Amino acid sequence: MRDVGNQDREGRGDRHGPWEEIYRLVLRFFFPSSYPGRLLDEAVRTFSEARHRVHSERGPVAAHRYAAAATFRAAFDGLAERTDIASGLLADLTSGWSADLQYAVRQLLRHPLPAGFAILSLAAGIGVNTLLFSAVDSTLLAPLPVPAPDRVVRIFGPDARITLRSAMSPEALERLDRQASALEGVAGIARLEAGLELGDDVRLASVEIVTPGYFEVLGVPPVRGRGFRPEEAGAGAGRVAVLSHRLWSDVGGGDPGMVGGTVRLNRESFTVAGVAPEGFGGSNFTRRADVWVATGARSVLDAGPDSEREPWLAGIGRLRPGATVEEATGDVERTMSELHRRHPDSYSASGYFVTEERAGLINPARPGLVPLAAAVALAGAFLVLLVACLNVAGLALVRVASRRGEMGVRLALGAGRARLGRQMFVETAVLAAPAAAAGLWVATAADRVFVGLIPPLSTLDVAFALDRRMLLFTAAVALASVLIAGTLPALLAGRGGITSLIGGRGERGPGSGAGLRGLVTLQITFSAAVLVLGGLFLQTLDWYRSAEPGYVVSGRVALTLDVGLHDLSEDEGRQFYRALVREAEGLLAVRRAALGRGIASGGPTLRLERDDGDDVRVDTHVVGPGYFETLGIALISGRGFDDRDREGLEPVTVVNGTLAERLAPGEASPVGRLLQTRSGEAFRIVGVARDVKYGSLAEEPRPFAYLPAAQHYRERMTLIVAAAGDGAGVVPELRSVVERLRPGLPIVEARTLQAFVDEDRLLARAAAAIGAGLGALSLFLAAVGLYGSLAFMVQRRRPELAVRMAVGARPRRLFGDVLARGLRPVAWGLAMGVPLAALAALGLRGLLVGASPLDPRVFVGVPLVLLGMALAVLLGPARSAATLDPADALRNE
Amino acid sequence: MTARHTPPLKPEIFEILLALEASPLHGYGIVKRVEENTDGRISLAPSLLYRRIRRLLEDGLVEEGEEVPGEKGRPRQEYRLTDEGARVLRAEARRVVALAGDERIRGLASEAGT
Repeated sequence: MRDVGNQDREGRGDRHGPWEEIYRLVLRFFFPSSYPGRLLDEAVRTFSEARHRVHSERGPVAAHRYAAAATFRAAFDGLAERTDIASGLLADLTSGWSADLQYAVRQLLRHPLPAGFAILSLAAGIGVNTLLFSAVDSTLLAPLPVPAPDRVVRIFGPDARITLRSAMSPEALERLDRQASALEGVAGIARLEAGLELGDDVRLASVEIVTPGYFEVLGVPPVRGRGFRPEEAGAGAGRVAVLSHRLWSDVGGGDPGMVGGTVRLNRESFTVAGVAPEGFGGSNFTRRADVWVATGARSVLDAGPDSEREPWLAGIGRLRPGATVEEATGDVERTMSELHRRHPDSYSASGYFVTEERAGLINPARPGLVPLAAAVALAGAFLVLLVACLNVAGLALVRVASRRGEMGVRLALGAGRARLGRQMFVETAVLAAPAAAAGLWVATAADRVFVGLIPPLSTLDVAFALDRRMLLFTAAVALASVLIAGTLPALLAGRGGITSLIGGRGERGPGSGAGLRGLVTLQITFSAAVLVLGGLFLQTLDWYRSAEPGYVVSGRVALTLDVGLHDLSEDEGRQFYRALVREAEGLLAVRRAALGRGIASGGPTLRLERDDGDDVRVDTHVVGPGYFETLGIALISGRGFDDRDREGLEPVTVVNGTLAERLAPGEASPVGRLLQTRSGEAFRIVGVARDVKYGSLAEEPRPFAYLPAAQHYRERMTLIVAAAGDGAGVVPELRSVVERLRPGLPIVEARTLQAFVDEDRLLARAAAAIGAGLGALSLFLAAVGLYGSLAFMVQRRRPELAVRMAVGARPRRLFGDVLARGLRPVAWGLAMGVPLAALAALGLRGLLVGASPLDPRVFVGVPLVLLGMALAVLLGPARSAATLDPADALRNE
Repeated sequence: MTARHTPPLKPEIFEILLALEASPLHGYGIVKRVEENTDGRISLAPSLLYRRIRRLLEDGLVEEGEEVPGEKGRPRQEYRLTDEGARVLRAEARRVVALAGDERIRGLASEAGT
């Protein structure tokens, strides 16, 4: 184009007018920039000559007409030329796919080892992404199996931010059902377990006790029979049940005659009103329901308070089409503040809120924690994929560099650079296809292992299936990795031109080192980030492994029974449990036995009034004599429960250390004082027990109290025994004791305390294991990639090293030089990756239970590990550089 | 890239090659001679002329000749036919003559004339 200017100035004279300028501008604007400038100059000159001839022959008007027409035509020709070039390029790029493919396969088969590494890297990257996606998808993202699940919402009461029992009262839900205009309908749900008798089958069933609108709100009307009627919500009414399709077909044999028949729940008869649709397991994916009963049956099943104002139901609603969660929240707030005005004792004025159903699975007290964990896991998996892609890209760069000659020849034969670039994408895709298949296989296999880890007694019902979404996701990840890994080699393929590729050894050509060094830097950056986070999660895992509940777990076995299933009276029940403890202690393998309402907690919640007027919630546990001794919970002062604590005598309690400190700050012991609740009950404190973990291992110390079983009769109790060995061997003996005392009484649950505590650790351990696993994987991938890249960088420097050796450089000097140059990109990567990880760790503080987000061991250890790995990888090439035979090396170049 | 210039040729390409067959010419010279040869039926716009020349250069039918002084003494690039160009021109000429020898086509032509 500069030529144009020069010629322009030369040619400017009497003959050059504004038309020539316009003509030139049009040519330059419309013709492709690649068009030879000389030809355009010639065209302008020809135009000028033609215009002047027309001017001299036919006058100025004709000349202007000619000039205008020619200019218009020039624009048209320029566009036509562009189209021609584009279609030529397109023809070049749309043909010859199969040749490219065959060629790619041949290329990769010729170098099976690097190809194998690349496939392995990609398979790991794709597999871990697919695995985590399917885990997240089937737990967090999967909607309820109901129509229009995105319109299903949860309604939470004010306590929801403190406990998971979100608690709405039947009255409030019924009013919301009528008044909330953003909601089509509102229902309430509570869960319980009950002994189910269906024909000869006796089992423990998971029951949802629901308000009558439940099936309509969820949009899943029973497929046989009917749902619930409004009148079945009234206390004392509604002895009707809807069975799950699974229960109906598995246990009932799919007998249509069952509808209208009878089942017994906790020995109470219920008429079977209907059967729910296949695949519908209730409102919570982790706990599949077998039976639904109406809230009217709550007193029969001892499932909830009789009062309509007491909150005990989880609220669920369905948005009207087009309505938003915010509108629904507004409706709920309005209705609840109105209720608060009428019944200030029963309802809070505020604190109610509505969330989407999927978000409702998540603890509202720590909103976003589980999605955050899932997002972190997926982000980590994506980083691992990036590291894998960089491996593949690095190997491809090596291919590009070692095939300079071939590229040059193909360019000389007329292949465009676009075509060579396409070849690199095809070769990457040939690697990615088997890698995706392998990744998918690994992911499904790992899924099965994961499902196998879920304790068999758990009601967690997560099905991993190789479904379409998973296949689509894998395909998308594979495609993304082809794009990520193929772009750089594609850009570099054919760079430098024919002559430099075939003949010269241009330093700026592909694989000249800058690209590879960049790749190594990025790889180390990502690996360092993943490794640091993985290391921190490993600390969390470690914390969970060593976290103790505070009571003795080993050799302890828990056997849960429910005499309500056999309809025993209170006297019979007390008698049975007394006999059970006696018989159990008589067994040779049992050292000690005691009863509890559960293992660590399971009593009513007491509300104590504090001086400032606020409530203190105190969870309790109902336990029998010998409980503290059996579980090894030390008593700080006073005594545990024994035969002195009987029904009809003064109510007594044992408090924990935290509650004792609250009740009598600074005093030696509150033993002997009265514990008074807001509702007017009073318990004489007879002892103080050391704090233990009553719920989760990660919980903070909280006030807690024990109540004697003798004064708080419960039909369902857990027998805890201290046995010899790991305790599992004593379970059959305990079963036969139960069978002897009460033939036919089902065992609700039998497990070791070890399993109980392990289950609590499962989720946290899974999360920590994922983080640590990703770190290990990225370390492996980085090692493979680093080896490939660094070895190649040294290989390329052989001629230079040989020359230096020939002119007298000392081998040790060369050795050090190779090491130093190889370590430089590693150092850069660490300098970027470690601060990145520190920032991420600070942001994720909430997930790192028991670990400091800036744990020096991790932040020093990870760089050391990566440096050590890089050194180990560099040692081979560096040694070969030091022992180089200059003559030999130069001859081979 | 495949050679695009095989018979049948586009009329203006045939005329450009024909014009260069007699002697090498610069751009405006080609325009003038094509106009003369075709009695003004084909008037080449400069932009189209150079599009065609570019392709002919690429395909080796035409090559750059000497720089000659144009009108008013400015240097102009001359173009001349290569051997390959001459071969393609002859092939096209034979095709046209063969068409002209076809009785049916002559019949159509005379019908059109009357």
